[in-house]
Amino acid sequence: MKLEERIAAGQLIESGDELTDEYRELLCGIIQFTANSEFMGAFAESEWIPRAPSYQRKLALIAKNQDEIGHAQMQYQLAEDLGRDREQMLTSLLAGENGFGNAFHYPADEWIDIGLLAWMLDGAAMQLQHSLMKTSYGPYARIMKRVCREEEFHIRHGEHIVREYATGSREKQERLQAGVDRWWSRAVMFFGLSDSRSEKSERMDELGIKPKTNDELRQQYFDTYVPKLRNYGIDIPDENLYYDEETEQWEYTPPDWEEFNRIVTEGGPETQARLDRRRTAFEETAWVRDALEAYDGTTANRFANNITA
Amino acid sequence: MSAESITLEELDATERFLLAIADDEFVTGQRFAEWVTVGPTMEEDNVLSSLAQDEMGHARLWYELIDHGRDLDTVGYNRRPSERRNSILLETEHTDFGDTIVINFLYDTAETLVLEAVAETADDAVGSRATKVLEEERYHLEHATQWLERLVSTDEGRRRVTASFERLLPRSADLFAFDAAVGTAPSTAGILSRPTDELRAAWRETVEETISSLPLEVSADALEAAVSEPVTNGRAGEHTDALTALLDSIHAEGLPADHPASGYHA
Repeated sequence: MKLEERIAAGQLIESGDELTDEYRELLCGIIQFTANSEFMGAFAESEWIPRAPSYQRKLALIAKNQDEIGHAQMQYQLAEDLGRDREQMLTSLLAGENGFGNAFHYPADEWIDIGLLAWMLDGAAMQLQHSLMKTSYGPYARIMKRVCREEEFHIRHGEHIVREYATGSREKQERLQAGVDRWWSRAVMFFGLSDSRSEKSERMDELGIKPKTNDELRQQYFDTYVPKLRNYGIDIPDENLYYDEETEQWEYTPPDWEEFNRIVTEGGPETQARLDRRRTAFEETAWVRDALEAYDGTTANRFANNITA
Repeated sequence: MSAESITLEELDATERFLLAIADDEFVTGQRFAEWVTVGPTMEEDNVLSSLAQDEMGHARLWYELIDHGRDLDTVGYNRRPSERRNSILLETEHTDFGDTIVINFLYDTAETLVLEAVAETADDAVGSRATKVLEEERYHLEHATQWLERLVSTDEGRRRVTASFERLLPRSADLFAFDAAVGTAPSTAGILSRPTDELRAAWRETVEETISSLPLEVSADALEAAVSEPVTNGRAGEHTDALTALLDSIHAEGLPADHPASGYHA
């Protein structure tokens, strides 16, 4: 059977199966996007590790960042198995040539931003990750199962911070509301443009790579998060938001898609500074990778050292 | 936050010793955690995250034994530099990954010797913790020695690792200077099964052996400084500006008033 027939028949594609160039391209595209998002997400949040506001929160944040790095690593590895080069992928990410989640183009200046990133934005990403457990490429689907299991804890960690603020001092409650005012539309935008059925997204759908559409995922997000936010006494900053019983759909004010396009193509307020910092870190540690390469006597993979602890 | 900080007067000799051990772990964890997401490889990011969590977890084990009813943030998070008893080696800023690995090696070699001497004498609560910590430290030490072997594979690596040893060995002089923290020799107080001189000598032997097994040229002066009387003794509450900066970085501006870290004033 040909690849597309196998997918249509509900078969999982496995590593080693013959892939079409188109399938490989589209698949690698989304894998790189989800890997980059994990990596840049951890990089954004790790700014708060030194100054997490308590001992326990610090431990939880380190553990969360470790998970995210692990997720990124597994997904880059998967793209490598499909023929991409890890150093190349990182280099193009750092050159700003590769996309990642829109949320990580914004600063996280307050601790509550870290709570909201973990709860609202990881929660948005989780809708996508959960749907990717049904992607047509078996190895990617299995990675997503593991990712989702761990993301549950991250979202709980975020919600814990949100609950602390929602039930805390007036100052904390105000900062929480101001935080949601900042992050709400970014969460709504995370899912991408309304399903305009671009040729590419149609092919992603037909090839079973992305099983749910942007709008389906966004509706799911509203189902979960609107009641939760209201339950914490938070006002959602969209007065047009309501559930239409007839269409069984959430109606909402379309977010500023121009801003979204600008953010994902040109970058946002924090993009350049973050990429610069990461590039500096990358350059400052080049000597370590050089040493690893000299030690192993191979140029095969300067990233996959086998040192464990 | 507003809870009274712990004072040395209310701690007995064993508790004062454990406070120094705990502060070592805490400060080390904080420094390792600075590497999370900026390490040389993703695999190493993962490992450094584990090490940071281990060290901070070990610190918590000790703090909980000596907290006299204070919470973890009061004891572990909010004590000022002059109240800290960690070795100055551990507060030192890591200028590159070579520093990290050399500190990892010098400290974990010392800690292993100390905890083995604790495990031989201590009561159940202390001894069982020492044994548990030792199990994990074995991997930490292995991490350091594996990296040392690899880092010296290039000229630049040898140059950097040599520079790290030159810089860091003199700051290791207080690693075993516990008398100042405890108020008496820990071996006579029944905390350690061996005198600290013996532990220091054993440490020196291991360090010299490791250095001489590697293509490094570390000066005799630096090695001598490491086993001399400390110029600045962290065990006596003497610290460098690096510790002040580290503790300031924990207690960032701009938090709402009722976070545990909000009440800290340097």
